[in-house]
Amino acid sequence: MDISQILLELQALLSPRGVLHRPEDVLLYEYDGALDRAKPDFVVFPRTTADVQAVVRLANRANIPFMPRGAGTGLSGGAVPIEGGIVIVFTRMNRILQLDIPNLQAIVQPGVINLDITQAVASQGYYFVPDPSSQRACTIGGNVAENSGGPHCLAYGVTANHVLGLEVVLPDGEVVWLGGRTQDVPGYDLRGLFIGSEGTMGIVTQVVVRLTHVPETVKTVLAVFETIEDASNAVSDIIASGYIPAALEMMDNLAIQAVEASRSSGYPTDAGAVLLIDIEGFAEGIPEQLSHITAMCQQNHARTVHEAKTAQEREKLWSGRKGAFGAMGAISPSYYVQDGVIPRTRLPEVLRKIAAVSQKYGFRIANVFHAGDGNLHPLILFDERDPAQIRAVVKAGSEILQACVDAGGSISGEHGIGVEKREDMALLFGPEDLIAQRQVKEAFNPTGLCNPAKVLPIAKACYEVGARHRRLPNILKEEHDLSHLGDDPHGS
Amino acid sequence: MAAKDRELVALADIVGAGYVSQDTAPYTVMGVEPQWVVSPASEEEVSAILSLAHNLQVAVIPWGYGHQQHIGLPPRRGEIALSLRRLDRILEYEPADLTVTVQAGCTLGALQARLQSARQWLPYDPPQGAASSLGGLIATNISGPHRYRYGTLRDLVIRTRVVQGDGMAFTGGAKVVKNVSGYDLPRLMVGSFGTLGVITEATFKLQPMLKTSQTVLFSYHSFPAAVAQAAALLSTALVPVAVAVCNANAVQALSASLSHLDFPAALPSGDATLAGWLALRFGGVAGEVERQVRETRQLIQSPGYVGEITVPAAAQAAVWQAIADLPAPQGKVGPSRQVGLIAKIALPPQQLPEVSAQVQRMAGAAGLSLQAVAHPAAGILYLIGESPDQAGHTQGASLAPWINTLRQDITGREGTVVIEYYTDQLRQATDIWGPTSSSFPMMVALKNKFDPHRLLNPGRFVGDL
Ligand SMILES: Cc1cc2nc3c(=O)[nH]c(=O)nc-3n(C[C@H](O)[C@H](O)[C@H](O)COP(=O)(O)OP(=O)(O)OC[C@H]3O[C@@H](n4cnc5c(N)ncnc54)[C@H](O)[C@@H]3O)c2cc1C
Repeated sequence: MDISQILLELQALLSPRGVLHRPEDVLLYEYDGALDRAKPDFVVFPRTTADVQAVVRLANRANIPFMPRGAGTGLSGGAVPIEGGIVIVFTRMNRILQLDIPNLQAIVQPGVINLDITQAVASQGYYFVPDPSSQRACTIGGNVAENSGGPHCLAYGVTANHVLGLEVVLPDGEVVWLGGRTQDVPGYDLRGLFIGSEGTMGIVTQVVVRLTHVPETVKTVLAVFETIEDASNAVSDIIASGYIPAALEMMDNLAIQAVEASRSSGYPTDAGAVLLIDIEGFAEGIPEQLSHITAMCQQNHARTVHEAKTAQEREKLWSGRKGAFGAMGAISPSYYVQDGVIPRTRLPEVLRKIAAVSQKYGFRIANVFHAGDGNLHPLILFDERDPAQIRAVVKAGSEILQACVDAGGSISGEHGIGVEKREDMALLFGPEDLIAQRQVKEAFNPTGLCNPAKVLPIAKACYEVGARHRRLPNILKEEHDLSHLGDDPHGS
Repeated sequence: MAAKDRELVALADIVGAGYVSQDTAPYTVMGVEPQWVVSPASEEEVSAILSLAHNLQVAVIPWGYGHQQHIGLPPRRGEIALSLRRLDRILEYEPADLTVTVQAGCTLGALQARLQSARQWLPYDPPQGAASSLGGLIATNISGPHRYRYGTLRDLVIRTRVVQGDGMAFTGGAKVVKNVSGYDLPRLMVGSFGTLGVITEATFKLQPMLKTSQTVLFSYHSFPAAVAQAAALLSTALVPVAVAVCNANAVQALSASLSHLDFPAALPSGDATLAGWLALRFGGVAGEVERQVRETRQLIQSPGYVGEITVPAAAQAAVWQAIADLPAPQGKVGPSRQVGLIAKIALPPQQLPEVSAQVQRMAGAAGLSLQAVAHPAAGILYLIGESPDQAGHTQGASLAPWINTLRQDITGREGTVVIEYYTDQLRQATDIWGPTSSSFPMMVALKNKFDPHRLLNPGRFVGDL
């Protein structure tokens, strides 16, 4: 089937307005939030599961790659069409299909924005727990594919803990349910296996999510430390003490500088590090937790431990944290974020190694991360216009991941492997481990057409690292302005 | 001696003569008696055994302590019983990281004892858990009333080592509490009934012990009323750590088995009007526990409410373990219980009140006396029948049409029924696992990758996997 024939068939399936193919129209779909980029042949906007199924069947007949894409905020190149083909975008499948409060469930389409679920049930006192910092832009389909987390996943778990069932179009075009509205469905846990599979096992077309009652009381505490070492020790002590807060985030001095330069959020710019801590629950339980957590900070030489007095102050502190990646724009042309995880007791040691990598390569590195579960986010600051820097930054990133693995950790906590960390998988896994993973991939995706070249290492890189390009300004735009993904793709 | 038997002598070369035996009667699974019992001491030995079995095309039944071997169909064959009891070490435990790595043959009881010394626990309370191996628990994914707050093993296992059909050993996941590096193999292994590989090692996420906790049993005139109350409570802001609802027969069995404890006088044993218990455990810091118990009492005003019993702190663990043990054939619940049937119903949770009432009616009409215990938020309802039951039934053939009618009803509600314990007669007349789901072809595809010769627990799992 030649390319013009595929176009005609796609247009017949989805109407001409549901298909983009001119190079200038598909430009926006060449990249996500990471470094890689590649040109799709087609971008399609299905409205129904049947549309998705028809596109997948067509791609199979035409033997061309296809891949799902949410909002493109992914940080590992998961939605980048490395081998071209059809990019399936879910802006027209963005409805909440059913809210079932008594059952604490909702059924949503994959293009629903993460925060929209919470907004739909907030007035009744419920929310959807996973809260990636990109939650105003990213989709539930992307969250499922990446098994996304967020600051409040420390106490309540990540996407996998809050998704009960998935309707999926498999890579061969079959439509199946994995899990459902009931638990303990007999058979292998394909729902659990699918979550985090980064669009390589099929395309999600419906999601059954769990809703959770909003806690009665939330207190936000800002603990200020002179050194990152003290802050790290406080984290270890808090976790070990058994008073596990709802969120426990850390920012180092460089991160604070960037945040305060971009929007003043109330962080002291001379601090070595701060911890942003949420304590939640019933009012009666708060004082005891608060006093223990405060004591743990003071024991580790906190300069101050300050409790936000008003809702506005809380929000201001959190907006600084949630906007921290974007804030890097205030101090650097580009950033490259790593996502390694380490046992929490190894924080001081690994942060020292990150500082050494910074020294060695001459890149400044800001740390803004989910300290409570040991999920690091070193942001390596560089200049995308210099190809030599791009190559060096990728190497520096791998060195940091090696340090995480050496400390008994993992190379990704929530951003996924995608293309970007595909070859780094070999840092963590041996040949047998990768064979086992390949078995899983081949069981679902035997032709390899569904989101090719992702997750598992491939023998030979089929693209140039030097061609990787940072698109920071556009990503920020995308986070705030989704109009270009609107119903009429030709209109904007 | 057949050629294969001669070659199987090589088992002794792998584990040493002292750890191969032909004294296989205790390892009989539903009438299928293996020819060899092998007890490896390391993952390398497990690997060598599976690769030998693979080459000789003989089937392997992994064994822990056998407490869950009643679940599933009889194996189609099983020449080798692979005992994992010698793989019983706790490999790595760093309390401040709240993670622990153990070998598969370690029992849950041994693990909890070790964790207790650091005031931590694996928040997991399956039936018959203490004496069961963690490998077996992972393979069967059974769980208890604390799943309300902490989820199932699918939420607690963060890393596994597994030996697949051809002997290849691999790691999935990592020893950290949050991880998305590659496919989630640990989740695939939890509940795979030993049909994809033999689990040799696992890493778990842990919890600090609850600072304080309180358990209250609320009594109701009827089981459905107690279930309805549970459903109403669970959409409020209350966050109990464990929840279960028991019917009158279950309450009677529990009362009898708990009678040695400090508070039996308060137990309404034998009072037929007290037909259901809603058991709730709240935990955390003292302030929040008191507040929630108080609030629960205010909310508990629904029709059918009779009264409450506050369980003394020292008796809490025993009460919850007894509730957890109800759906276990050897569970020491009640004086001389002889179980003939365990059925597990899973439903969208809000259907549970209606289904409880329906099951009660159906059982009444058929003259069946069943114990019932529900995990309401999970939508799970266990039915346990004694054999012979009070009506003198042997609960065999006569039970099959009843089960089949029940399954029809539950399937119509998007639910499933699995018969976890059964008699031969029942098995011949009903489907143990129930129908397979739309995704079954993917399960077959996975099985074909991990155990292409179908030698691991062949035929035991759903759809003959
Ligand atoms: C500023 C910023 C902050 C962030 N903060 C966090 C954070 O705190 N925590 C966190 O976990 N992540 C974070 N991320 C990463 C990112 O937002 C998440 O990975 C998010 O889930 C991606 O969603 P998306 O809709 O943008 O997906 P995309 O980037 O479009 O796609 C991501 C992957 O999902 C697949 N996919 C998309 N839709 C489907 C579908 N329907 N079916 C199957 N597969 C599908 C794609 O093929 C791709 O592999 C952040 C990103 C940015 C830019």
